Amino acid sequence: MNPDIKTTEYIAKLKDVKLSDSSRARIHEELHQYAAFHSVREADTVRSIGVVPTSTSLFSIKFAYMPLVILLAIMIGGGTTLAAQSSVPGDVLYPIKIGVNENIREALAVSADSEAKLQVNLLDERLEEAQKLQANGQLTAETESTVVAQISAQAKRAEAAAENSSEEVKLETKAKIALAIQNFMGTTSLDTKLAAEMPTEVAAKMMASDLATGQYDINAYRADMTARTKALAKIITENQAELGAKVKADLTVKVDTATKLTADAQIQVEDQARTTLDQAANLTGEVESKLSTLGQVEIDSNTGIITDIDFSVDPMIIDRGDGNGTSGSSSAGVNVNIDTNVGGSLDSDMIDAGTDASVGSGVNVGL
Amino acid sequence: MNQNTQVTVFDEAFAKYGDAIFRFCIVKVSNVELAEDMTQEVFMRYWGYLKADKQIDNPRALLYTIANNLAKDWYKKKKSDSLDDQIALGYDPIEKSPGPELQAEHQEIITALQELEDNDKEIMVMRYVDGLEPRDIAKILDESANVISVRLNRATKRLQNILHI
Repeated sequence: MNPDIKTTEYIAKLKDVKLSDSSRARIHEELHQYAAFHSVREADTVRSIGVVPTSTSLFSIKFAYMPLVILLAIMIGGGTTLAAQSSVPGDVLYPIKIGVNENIREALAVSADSEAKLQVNLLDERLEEAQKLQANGQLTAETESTVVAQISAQAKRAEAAAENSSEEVKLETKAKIALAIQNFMGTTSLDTKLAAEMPTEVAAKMMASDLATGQYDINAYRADMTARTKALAKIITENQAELGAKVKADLTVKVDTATKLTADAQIQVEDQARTTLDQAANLTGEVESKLSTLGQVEIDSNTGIITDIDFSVDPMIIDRGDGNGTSGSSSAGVNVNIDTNVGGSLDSDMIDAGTDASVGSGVNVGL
Repeated sequence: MNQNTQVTVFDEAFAKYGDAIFRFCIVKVSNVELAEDMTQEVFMRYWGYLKADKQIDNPRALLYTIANNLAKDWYKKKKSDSLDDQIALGYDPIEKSPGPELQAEHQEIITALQELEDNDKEIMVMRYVDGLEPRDIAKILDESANVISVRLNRATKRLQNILHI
């Protein structure tokens, strides 16, 4: 045999040297990631003739531009975005938090489910910001409207994202939205405004995830809450002189919200109505327990509703039956709830009562 | 030019020429892992061309050119290291090659090829393993076809001596 051919045939055996399957898969995967990261820029490349652009779904655009967004964030500076993360409305860095940080997070949340989770988290953040502002006394009329608008817009987004997500995430997300709003209620002076701005479906679709069993008839519940909120509103109006502006404003906000919720519950289906009414009951409960620390309250023995209040009587000797009437389901609300907190705020409220009309007027009473 | 179409082209190129580039690399660097990394790097650079929508007449030639340039870089870096290091680094293509009965032979061939001059071993592989014509090889290596033919001939003779054929 020709030695040359023999030699070349010998070398040709190297044909069997190949990438191992695992290495091939790994390299293939890494190349794909690389290609996705260093993606083709659609806009500024010149199309060569004969290349028909295949359709680009929104989805693929999102993928294609993700690296750009991330890159942009890195270029703008991790430090700034990090610092911006803790900012509140009115801060210099707040627009970065909203415009850059959260857009990146949105770009990263690709699936409908992760989008829903993100939107709920963002809602939590909006609510936290409002609480932060309230705590720092920065909740001016100006920021107030911005905050309310942001929260309601975010609630709408979260609600919409929940609608788009998978069935189980949808329920979970809606429950989270409801819980977030519920926990937020009463922590700032924004409740009334917010209740008016909130998308009705947020209130309406709040999840009845942990409904206690054995509740009484929904229509009776509706009627009961209507009566209770009306009675409380009346008491507050009649006794505003004794209550003092600040206390009155606080109680009015709660009662108004409860009234609004109760009204919503009238047209909701049972489960939703129950949840809404539970919230209303929580609020009226707060108001009732507050009232009961201020004076002797008179309670209708049939309905359990406070009908009147006598400020001349020391509340420490009040004798109020719990659980009488029908309001067993209205959670902790009806129970007299004299904790140290209420007591503490009561003192200052009473002292301030005559003089702090100006403070009180800063709060939107919304009567 | 669209990302999806380019990725398809990219995938095809890897499926078609991945092994050939890997062989080229392994003859150059004599180490499976290094050769794998190099192969990956070659394709990454190739993606740069696809991404920029450059006219590519002959993907295979381009891939070899990239691989050859990478290998040059690698040798530049390698120069400072001693030959002992190079051997210690893992003269061991066996480990990941397919089929145990082939492995020893593969190693033997690659070992034999290492005896050739640097520029000769890869043209032997390109010519006799992956079937490129001398003029294609010439284009890739920026030489004349004549020079490549001469070198192929010389390398074949030399290999015969080494193998005592």
